[in-house]
Amino acid sequence: MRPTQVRMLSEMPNGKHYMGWWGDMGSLPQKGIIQYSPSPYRQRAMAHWFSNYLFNGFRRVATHLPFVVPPFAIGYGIYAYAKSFDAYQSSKAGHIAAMEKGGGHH
Amino acid sequence: MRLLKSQAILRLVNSYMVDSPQPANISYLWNFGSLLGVCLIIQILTGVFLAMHYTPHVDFAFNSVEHIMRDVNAGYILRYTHANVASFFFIFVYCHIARGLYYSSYKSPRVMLWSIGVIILIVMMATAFLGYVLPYGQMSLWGATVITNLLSAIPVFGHDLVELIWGGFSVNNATLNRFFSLHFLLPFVLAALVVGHLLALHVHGSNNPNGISNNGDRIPMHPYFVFKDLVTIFAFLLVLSVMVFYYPNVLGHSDNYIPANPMSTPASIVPEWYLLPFYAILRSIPNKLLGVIAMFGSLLILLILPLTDLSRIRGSQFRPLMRLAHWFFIVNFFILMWIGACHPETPYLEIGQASTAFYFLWFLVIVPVIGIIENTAMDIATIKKENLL
Repeated sequence: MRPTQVRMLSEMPNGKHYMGWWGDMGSLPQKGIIQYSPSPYRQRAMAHWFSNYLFNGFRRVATHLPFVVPPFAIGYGIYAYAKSFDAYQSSKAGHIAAMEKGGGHH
Repeated sequence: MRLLKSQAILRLVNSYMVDSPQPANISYLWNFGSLLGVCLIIQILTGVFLAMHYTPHVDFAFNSVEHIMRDVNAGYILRYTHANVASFFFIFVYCHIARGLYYSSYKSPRVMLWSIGVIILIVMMATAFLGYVLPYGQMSLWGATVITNLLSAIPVFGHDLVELIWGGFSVNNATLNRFFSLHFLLPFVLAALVVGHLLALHVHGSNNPNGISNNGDRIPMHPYFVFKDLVTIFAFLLVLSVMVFYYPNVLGHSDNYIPANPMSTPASIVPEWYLLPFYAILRSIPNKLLGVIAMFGSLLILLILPLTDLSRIRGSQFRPLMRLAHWFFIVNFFILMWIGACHPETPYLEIGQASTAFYFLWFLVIVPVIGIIENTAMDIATIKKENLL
């Protein structure tokens, strides 16, 4: 069976499901919602936020790099090649080469 | 019950902007919508005040803009803000679309939302083009001449249509007047389309980075996303201020500070930077009519994505091939933008043609083929497991 069929055939909410409103969101009945929390004085909502931002952020960006770097490298390669070719074409050497190849230069 | 939830209009505000249930996991890439709303509001406000001092006449338009710049109190801020926010508008809309492409936000059930968005993009481009004509500098006149002439490629009645649009036999006073009128009107059409965009969004709610409905994990728009949106809005205003006060003409073309002269054609006629990719597509096809079709087709082809994306998984987050294809598409877009500003000669010509081909192939071949490959790979993987058991 296709792994996505579970989602498609079941009553689980999927892309086609109308999103309801609070309390009737269209999802499975929610269970085990915790209504209590530590005292605000005991909470450490911002614990390790900076180190996580640095290291987890780096990890997330780094795992994405193999997908970003090759296209941009190829794109830059095309750009650099075109620029150098254009410069050569407009240079004295380029004009001479074009004339030797036959026909004038533009 | 609170007035916010019972009053006929306020309850709509509440439903859209206060209690609206948002996916808890949407990233900063979901902030571009609010930034675009802010851009539209800034453009309409600055535009209305600019219109109070602008004169839509070929003899006075350029000077009236200079009058705004020199004599009107804070006029230079109004005009530079209007010109630079136009650029930011397009930066944000391209990011907004790229987000939609990456996370397959166009997929069912949000096809209506995506389609309205594509229409918004086209109307935005028309509005920006019309606005660029108004200062009536050299680029205004010749840009308008090039773009309006595109319609002359339509068989049989093309030429008559162009003269009808011009109100004469070239870009002239009548053209400038109607362009001003339309440039004033279209932003309100845009605002109406934005309302439609929000209505369509509100039916199914935002997509999210995981690509699966997360009705079980939602938090209200206010305060969570109101304040998150404000983070990027303030960052935008900061960057915008730097642009307006220190580099106001970086994104413009210097030729537009020369008054329009029908007797002197500039060495190269280039549109504003945000139209360059589509200008490159237009120029890469030698046949005029086919070029025009390709240019408009390159915008309308966005509408086909809900059909050609065959993947069973929404978004590129868990699809390595599609991720790579997405970044190739982005790079190709940048290449087209660069080519649009180059003279049409070797090697730029050939690169532009290859990039145009890639642009269309991406929608029509690459996206569906990657979808089929990934679906098949997933099926093979699961079938093997079942057989082993």
